[in-house]
Amino acid sequence: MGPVRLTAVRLSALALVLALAAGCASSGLRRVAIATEHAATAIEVVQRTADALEADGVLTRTQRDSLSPYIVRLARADLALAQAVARADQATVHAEVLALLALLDEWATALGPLPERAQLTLRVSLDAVRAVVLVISTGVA
Amino acid sequence: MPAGRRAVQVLSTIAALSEIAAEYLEQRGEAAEAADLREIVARTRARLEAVIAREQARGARTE
Repeated sequence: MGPVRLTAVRLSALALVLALAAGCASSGLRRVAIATEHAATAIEVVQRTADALEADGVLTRTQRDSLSPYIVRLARADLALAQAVARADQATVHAEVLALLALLDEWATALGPLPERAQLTLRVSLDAVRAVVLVISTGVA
Repeated sequence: MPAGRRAVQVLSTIAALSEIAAEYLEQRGEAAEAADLREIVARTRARLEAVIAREQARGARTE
């Protein structure tokens, strides 16, 4: 991945953290809803990172394809979380937060066979998702 | 009616009206917050569905 793209990924992660700090100013369920939207942004960043790694030849097409099920699972888990927030269903919100964190751990382990450069870059994006999910978890604790 | 009692009546009416107004504003605030929440969730949903659709389209192209 070129330095410009890598910097863009890092800036996206930083922008997320700043947006989160702003989001924390609001309260209650709205704060959690805003955080789930930030999680969606972080997942979009993961998807774009995977695309950029393939475009730069760091990942083969097959390796990029192997990331699709994880991206879909992340997006579905955040979707379930957003829907639980909309229903004000705190128990499900809590369960979905734990499921998302478990999925992130599982994915971090599954990155093993990928080239080291790809692993490092994807970890930056996944850490942004994890940071957002942790903020959500403090909102529902 | 003595002026003192009239003043008390006027003040009680003002207090009651203020209470009704405060309740109305609170309900309006809650409604606005609920609408805002729905909008945030709808936007999040649309974005996540776009992520899923793109990955699934990719899978379909590969097969």
